[in-house]
Amino acid sequence: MIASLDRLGWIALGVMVGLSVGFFPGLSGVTGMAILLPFIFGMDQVSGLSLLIGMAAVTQTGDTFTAVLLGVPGSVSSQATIMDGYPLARQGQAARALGAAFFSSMVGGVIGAIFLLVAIAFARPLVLALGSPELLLLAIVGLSMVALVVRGRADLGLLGALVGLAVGTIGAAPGSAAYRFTGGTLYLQGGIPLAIFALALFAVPEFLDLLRSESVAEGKKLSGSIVQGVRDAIRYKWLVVRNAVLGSFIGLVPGLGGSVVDWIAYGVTVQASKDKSLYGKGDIRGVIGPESANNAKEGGSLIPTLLFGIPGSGTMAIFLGALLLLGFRIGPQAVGRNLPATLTIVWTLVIANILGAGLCLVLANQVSKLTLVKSAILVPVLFVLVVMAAYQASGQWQDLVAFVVIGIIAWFFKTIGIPRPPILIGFVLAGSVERYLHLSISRYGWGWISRPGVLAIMAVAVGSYVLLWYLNSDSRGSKAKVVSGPEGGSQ
Amino acid sequence: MIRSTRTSSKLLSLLFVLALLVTACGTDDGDDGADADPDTEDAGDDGDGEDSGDSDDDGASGASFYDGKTLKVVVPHGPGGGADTSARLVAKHLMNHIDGLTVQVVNEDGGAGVVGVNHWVNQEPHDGTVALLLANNPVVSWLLGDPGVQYDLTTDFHPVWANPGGRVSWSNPASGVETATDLGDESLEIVHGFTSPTSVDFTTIIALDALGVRDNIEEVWGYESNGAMSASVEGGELDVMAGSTTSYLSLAADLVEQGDLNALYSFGLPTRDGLERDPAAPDVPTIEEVYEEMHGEAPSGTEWDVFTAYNNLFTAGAVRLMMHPDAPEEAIQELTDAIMAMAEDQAYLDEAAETLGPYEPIVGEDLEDLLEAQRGMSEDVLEHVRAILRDEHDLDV
Repeated sequence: MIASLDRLGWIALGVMVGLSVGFFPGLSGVTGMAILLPFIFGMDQVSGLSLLIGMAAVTQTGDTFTAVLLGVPGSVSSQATIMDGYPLARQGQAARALGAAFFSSMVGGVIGAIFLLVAIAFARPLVLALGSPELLLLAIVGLSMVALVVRGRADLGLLGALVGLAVGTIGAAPGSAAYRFTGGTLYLQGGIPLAIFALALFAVPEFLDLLRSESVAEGKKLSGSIVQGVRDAIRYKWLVVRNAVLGSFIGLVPGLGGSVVDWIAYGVTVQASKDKSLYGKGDIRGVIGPESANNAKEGGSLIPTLLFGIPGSGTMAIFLGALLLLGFRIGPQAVGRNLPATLTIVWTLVIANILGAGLCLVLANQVSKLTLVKSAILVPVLFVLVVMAAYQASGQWQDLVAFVVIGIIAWFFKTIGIPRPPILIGFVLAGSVERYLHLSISRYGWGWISRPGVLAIMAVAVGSYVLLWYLNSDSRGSKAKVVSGPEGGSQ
Repeated sequence: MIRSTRTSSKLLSLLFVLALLVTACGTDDGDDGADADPDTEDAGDDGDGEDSGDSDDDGASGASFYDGKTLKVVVPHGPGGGADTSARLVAKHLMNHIDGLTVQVVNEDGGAGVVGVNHWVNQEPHDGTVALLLANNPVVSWLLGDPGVQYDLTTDFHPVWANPGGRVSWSNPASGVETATDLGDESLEIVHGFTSPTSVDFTTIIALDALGVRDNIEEVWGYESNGAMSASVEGGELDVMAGSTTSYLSLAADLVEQGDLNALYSFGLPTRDGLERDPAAPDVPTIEEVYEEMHGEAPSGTEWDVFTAYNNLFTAGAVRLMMHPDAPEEAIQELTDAIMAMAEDQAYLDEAAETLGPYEPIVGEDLEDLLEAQRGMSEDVLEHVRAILRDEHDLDV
């Protein structure tokens, strides 16, 4: 404990880096890791872990700024926040949305850390029970969230998801030596980088349309405050807690959790509400739900990362590499002789979440004034930032071509009314769906469908929809929305 | 509506101009290297702090090529992971053995390493100031005849340092596969997991061929990582897998000790005296020992020769620091000497053992064997593997 002040310093430094990379659209935890790694080499384990976890814990907190203020997911981890956060910002309530988001992030993050502490000792059999067929089904459940995101227009949602899945097949096929749709280029062998895809899909159309209005906040005035947002989060405390627990469990799913947690949390939040009419138009619960879950997820997803070396997200993948630099061996010993280091991680998560969200809350008022800046000034600056972020994704010139091409297509989609969140959901899950379908069939044939785990997940998914539908059936506006739950998607 | 379309088209042109501008800046960055990446400078700074004091080894002796120079080490992969770690390890300690030298590590990710290696071979100056950390993946791409590859393993690389990295196979004993000889037991239905056929995991099928047991095994390809595969073995979805020795040590070794998993065989460590037990897994029999036990004679035949060629290439030197073969001779000489001194340095050895496994680095004259393995990849050996991947895995070359 003598070194604890020292350690706090490292955590604080990590938090600063994490918030900075989270704050800029397109930079993510992966960038943060890349910045920190050279310092990590040769550091002692505790300091290195403090620095890295401090960073990783708060990138999704920082991401919230761009998601709410600009409608652009800063990285995968704040995808669903754009659904209601951005409409709120356009109504001039950016500060309120940010306040609610950061407060629920903080609580969610702490709950996730506690979950990690409690669950890591028992989680081994649970993770092992998830074979390829079970993971496939969970990925499909994630895909089915498309139906909730585009309520009422399941056809367009499906179309979007298919586009996303199709684009996601570009590159190396899982389990074979074939490359698809690469046109012989090396650039496309690894597929289109996620950062580029997400940025171009949202940033380009939003920015272009932003130029047509005066500023992000229509009407050029702000209402609502951080305090109001925090009060909202406290009012919906059970939503915060429930989604944090949900997020922790989803984080536990090896290799998949990070990409689906936002949408599942959003879907569940919408589905469990009686009055759904405001979702997608600026319902504060649509911010609180996913934000609580996505910070809690980091705690959960450290379990497969530390115990099995299976990263649940891009950040975790690099974190795994960084552990190697620190001489920390992952595997079963994380709860054995490496237990002290594991505990360090838990404490760091708690401290970093409180520190990071606290800092964001302090900054939120000032930053939300960005929504008052004239579009003609804001957009060009943002554009440069975003293009630079796109370029640093892999540092190849093709990044820019991909960015521009996808951006133009996305703008076209927005103009003709095809919703883009389903495209992102399809793209993010394409790899998992394909990989686990391939593995399930080559391992079990079609028998994978009748595995007990698969049947159990199906039963839970269908059952929860039926239950929610039944509970909500007396309230108006819920009937058409249940058309395609997971039972529709799992064919 | 018309008005807004016009505005939009103006915007589009603006966008293109912007894109071009940034591309131009980006290219500048890449070329002068100094400010290409925030982490490169830091790598230098980091090391500078470390080399306080003990640089007495060979700095004083005469004119030095590298005094006052910067050696850039290109890692054609992202930060973190085996290749990057090796590069940073060598960079850090090399500076202690050449006075006035700064080493920068630069990550150039893309195309599983091919992009960075292409760039290093064809665009970087061959003047001794740019080295390359070559891990196995770009080598595999070359072997498989990937059309994007613009380098030739047999001629374009001169190794100055290498570190071995073995492979080990392990099983879930509940499947009935308790030892490696069980792999040939026809009464068992054995499911073997693999990652991608375009990764170094294809050497596992060559090993199974060399043992003569592949017909008895059902192959499931497409796992994302050794971690995912090992969890599937433990969970019972798979019966057997093989992975790098470092992943064996972290993922499986403890469970092997508890009896939940069994280690079957290792690829061994190729040395001048033949195949030795992997020093990182000394309790695990080598594939050669297993062959002798199964077949009652020393291994031979085409399959064994193919396995040996690949094992010499991938296991004896799994990560290698490469110079351009036409770089100034004094540069290569000075690096080679400094690296030999580094290989005696306990601080280096301790840190290497911790991160890369308990292997002796390959330096000095021993590198000749590695060069031999590189040059000795005959067309027959290459074609043998390409044929397997063509017939079984849709490889289209």
